[in-house]
Amino acid sequence: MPSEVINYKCPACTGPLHFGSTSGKLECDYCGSSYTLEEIEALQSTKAADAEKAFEEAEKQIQGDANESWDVSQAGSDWGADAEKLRAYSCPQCGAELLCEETTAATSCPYCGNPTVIPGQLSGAKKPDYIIPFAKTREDAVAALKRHYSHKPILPKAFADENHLQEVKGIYVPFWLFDAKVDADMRFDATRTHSHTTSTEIITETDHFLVHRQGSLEFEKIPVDGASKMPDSHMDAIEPYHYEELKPFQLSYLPGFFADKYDVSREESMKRARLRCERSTENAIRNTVVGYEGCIPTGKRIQVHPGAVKYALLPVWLLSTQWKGKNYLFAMNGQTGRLIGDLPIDTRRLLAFVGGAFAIGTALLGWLFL
Amino acid sequence: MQFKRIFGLALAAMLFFLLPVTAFATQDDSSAQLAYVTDTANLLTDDQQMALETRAEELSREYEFSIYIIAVTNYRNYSHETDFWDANVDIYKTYDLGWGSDKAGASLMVSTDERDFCLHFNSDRADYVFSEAGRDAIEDRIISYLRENDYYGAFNEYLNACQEYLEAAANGTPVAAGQGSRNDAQQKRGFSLLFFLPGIFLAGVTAVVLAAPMRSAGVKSQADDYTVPGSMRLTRQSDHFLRRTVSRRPRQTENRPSQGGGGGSFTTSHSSGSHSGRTGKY
Repeated sequence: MPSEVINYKCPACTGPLHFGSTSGKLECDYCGSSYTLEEIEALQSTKAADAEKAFEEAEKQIQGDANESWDVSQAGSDWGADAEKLRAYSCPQCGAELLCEETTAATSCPYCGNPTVIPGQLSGAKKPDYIIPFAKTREDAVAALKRHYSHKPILPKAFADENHLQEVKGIYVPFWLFDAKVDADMRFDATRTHSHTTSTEIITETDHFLVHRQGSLEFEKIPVDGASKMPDSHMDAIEPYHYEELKPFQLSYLPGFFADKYDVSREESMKRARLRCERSTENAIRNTVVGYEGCIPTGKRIQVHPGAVKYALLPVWLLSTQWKGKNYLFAMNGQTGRLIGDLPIDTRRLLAFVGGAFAIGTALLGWLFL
Repeated sequence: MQFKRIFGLALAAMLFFLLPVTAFATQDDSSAQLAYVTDTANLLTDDQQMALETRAEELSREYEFSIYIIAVTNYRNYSHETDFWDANVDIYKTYDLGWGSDKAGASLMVSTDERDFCLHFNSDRADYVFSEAGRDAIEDRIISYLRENDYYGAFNEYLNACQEYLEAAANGTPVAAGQGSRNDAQQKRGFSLLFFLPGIFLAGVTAVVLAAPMRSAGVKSQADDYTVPGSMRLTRQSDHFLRRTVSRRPRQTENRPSQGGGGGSFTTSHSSGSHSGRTGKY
């Protein structure tokens, strides 16, 4: 059953508005107007109710007509278990029915391209606390991918030349941001070694020390992505985000981009955050042991004191392509522009380079000594 | 009683001086005055000694090249020479060892008191049959047995090696001929490795430099980017001395020009006149 969706229309021409990464305003591609978030929110609040009513009536009319004219008893079958994972919405621009995953919070209409927000997915307890608006555009993402391809001699030439991006999506990915304080109590076996020689022997003396360090370290907003369909390896690799640009969440940032709500709980995500801050604390404590040649941890007690947990939407450009039947996914930090993604390797070219390097190294030495 | 005691002492003194000579008694070989296998240190059983003796004799006769095995508790009891190598040469000469006019032969002597061993070769024929590389190989083959105090194993392996070398030389293809000494071989192996090392290194670096940027996705295991600046607090720190461990290893001295034997024995090569060989510890 269609649910409520929101899009932002240009007050001047009724064209769809989307959030401009560069200007930080809602922009209209049709008439070039731009509006602040506050201006649009004020206009939207009055128009939303009217739009909803109109589209519901239109939908009822369509359904009524269809039932009178066609035998629909055998059209389609029941969604079964899939129904729980899917949601249907009506595009307020063209009336098309949008079928989305249950976690989709913002999308665009495949028929009219109208950016659409599905506020039901973000309301109540699931409403994000923060958002970092997109600072990089789609063009930036495509350009970054081209740069990612460049200067990679073992990238198959056909991949870069014939490769066509299948999809470029700006997505607000749900992240849990964890604060924590970590206490650590660690013991090390540290060694100092010195050698001297007599007329007959080389004597090596190794002094062993019991080194004890106790301390604490605080962490702020360790991000852990809360979307199961986003690969952790990609989301981690595009870090860090600059939190000085973290803003209180507003729906107005979403138009023009996709958005998901979390489907990995805070509790599940906590494990990863805990592991990361434990490792960092261990390293920090280890780095205070100086003046020794060797240092082996012999005991540790790490205690994580969980702090505040915040829910934020962070901007990610996802670019996907296919090559030789395999999907290649690239992710770009929508704030900093850092792009990552594994690339295919042309084995023949790699072997040629490695063989060439071996030959050059060997020939060079031969030339020097023979 | 007095007479008996004097007679007993005199007999003991005579035995003390004569036993070595008896032990080094001349055998049936036309040139050697020692058995092919002499064991005054009692390292071998009678059967073992017999088996070795038989085999050494057969080899010596077949190739007209004497092969000796001499086991003593202290070489100084059999030579006035204090140096082990010199004592070997002295014994070889004193007992007129070797085959034919050129006294061609090879001997392995162990002196158990100080765990010395000596591979001794005499004559140009010996140099032809046993190249430096070949001698290295023989040493490598017997040293592990000697370290395990498996003297029969060592002597048997020595005879095996001698048989192989003599047979190869008789066929005109001496083992390791032209390959130089172990040091040379090691140097060559080292040089070979060294020769290819820059190429291997450069190839490895190239592979890493080229392949690393192709993999940029990866899960992070740390949260260093999210530490609160200045939040690191050390509430307790102490460094207590526990103990000192001392390890000693022998320093290679200049009078031990070559090191070999595989991990711990020091071998010195010698050459004097037609005599050549090496001494070492096991």
